[in-house]
Amino acid sequence: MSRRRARMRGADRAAAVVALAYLAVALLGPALCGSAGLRLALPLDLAPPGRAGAGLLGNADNGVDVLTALVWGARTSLMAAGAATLVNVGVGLVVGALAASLAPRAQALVLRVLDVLLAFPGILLAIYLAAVLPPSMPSLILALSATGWAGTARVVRTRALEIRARDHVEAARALGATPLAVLTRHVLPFVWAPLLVQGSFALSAAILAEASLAFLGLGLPPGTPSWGGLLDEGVAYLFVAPHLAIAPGLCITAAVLAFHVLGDGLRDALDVRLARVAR
Amino acid sequence: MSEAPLLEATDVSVRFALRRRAFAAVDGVSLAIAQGETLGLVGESGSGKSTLGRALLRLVPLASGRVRFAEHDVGALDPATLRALRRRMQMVFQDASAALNPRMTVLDLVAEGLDIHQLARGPERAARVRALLAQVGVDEGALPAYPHELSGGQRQRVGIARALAVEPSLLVCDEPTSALDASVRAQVLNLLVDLREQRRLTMLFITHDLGVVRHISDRVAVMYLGRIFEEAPTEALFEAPRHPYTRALLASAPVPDPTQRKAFVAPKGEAASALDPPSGCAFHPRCPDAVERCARERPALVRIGARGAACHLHGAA
Repeated sequence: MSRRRARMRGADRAAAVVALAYLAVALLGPALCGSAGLRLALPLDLAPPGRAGAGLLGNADNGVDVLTALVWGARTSLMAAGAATLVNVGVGLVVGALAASLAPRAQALVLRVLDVLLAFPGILLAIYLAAVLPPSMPSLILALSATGWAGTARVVRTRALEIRARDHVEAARALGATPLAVLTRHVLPFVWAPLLVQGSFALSAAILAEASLAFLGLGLPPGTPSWGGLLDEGVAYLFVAPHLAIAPGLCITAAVLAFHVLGDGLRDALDVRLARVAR
Repeated sequence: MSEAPLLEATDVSVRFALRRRAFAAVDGVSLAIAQGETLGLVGESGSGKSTLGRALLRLVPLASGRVRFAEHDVGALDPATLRALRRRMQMVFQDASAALNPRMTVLDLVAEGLDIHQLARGPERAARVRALLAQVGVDEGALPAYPHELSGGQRQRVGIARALAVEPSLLVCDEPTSALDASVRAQVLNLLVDLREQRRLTMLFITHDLGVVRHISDRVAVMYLGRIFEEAPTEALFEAPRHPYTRALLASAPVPDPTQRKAFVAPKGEAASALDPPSGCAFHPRCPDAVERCARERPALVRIGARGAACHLHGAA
């Protein structure tokens, strides 16, 4: 068994840097740039970058500063996608771990239910929920986390079953450990690594879904700065002010890509598929 | 022996399902181990000997039959009583590197039984672990180490210490030395013999290694395809095997003396599969002495005195 150090490749590191930068902007950005740029400034309506008085990335409809809106949009997107990911991972962990402890027939039943959830296009359910629920942050989080946990539960269950078959679990049972102790001490410590990877992918998907909902004008009260909303405006003025679509588009792409590649990198670094268990 | 045996299995079967087909890994086995006795259980891989060992501890469910340990009907115990009883019956595993949780230190691994059964805590816990490590010959510097930092022999010693921490009366050893280097094997084997004497342990010693079984057992049971074919006191079995399978097994064991080369009567072909067992006696397709009746009728294990054999040709002998 060759023991690899948990290190990431260059592309993965770049993704980690972008992801961290995104987190930093979402956390600190609004405090640094303030909300002055979000106020109306009609003379700067749709001003491209470079025009006198225009923002670094130009201005949007009614003169709102694009950079400021993007920074505030990063916070919205991180809060919604981050919370949805926590729900996804938490529910997936509990359901997956419990499913792995059930009798084979009950497991098969749970799996079929998960299959139904997975077969359902998640974004459609999210659009439906965001449309019928009152626009607010909790509604958005619910819409974003409605189905994703099913995939996480499958990953957790598979991993837990694999670990349960190991001798050290049988040894714990032979010592008289309770099922709960077996689960928490001897199974779950080996589930964190795939869960971290899964969470990273889920975050990437949730960012994209949040942007999609905002693009459709769903989820949050109108006027809340968001990448998807900005992109929507950009489409309306695509030939008049292309800068308006390009900036949020690049932001969404970079964030989704960064968290996705980060998940890939974590998977390689943590060697999840090779099931390396040594610390 | 007038005293009731510590462990008694009656007609125990274990079934598994493989691709929707059920097959018997253990098929109607009866055996008994007296207090303080060591029973060696030998057989080729796939003979069901490890499964039988696990079934006796109810680590795999019984399909039928009864297991009695001391005054308990092991198969019928409720989960809480069974967990409490596990203190008295422990297991040493073949592959210690798999049987030790890789994320736990030696201290926590050995103390796990103490924690589960609330036998010791705080300084007393650490002191008990140190004493156990000393008994199995592991330096107490290993306390904060993780299993992958230990040698194979040390790992198995830790596995033995963990099993003994709860002071069991029965120890099931499942090929405890098979995964070890030859040089370490004898040391670990001698350690088990010493511990057995010190702690008056009753043992079920599962192995495919005839040399090991001869060294450690009082009595030997030979298993083939889920059934016991022969059972006898160790020396009697090695001197005068009665079942053709036992004879073939003994003949195939290497003899460390080139002048003693005997006529080789290895069993014909591969061991049959438990998925599709032969009719009658499971050994008849490979048996040099098979007669027509062997393919038709399955021989029962006939016990006469201390010996027993499941063979039409030798059952009456």
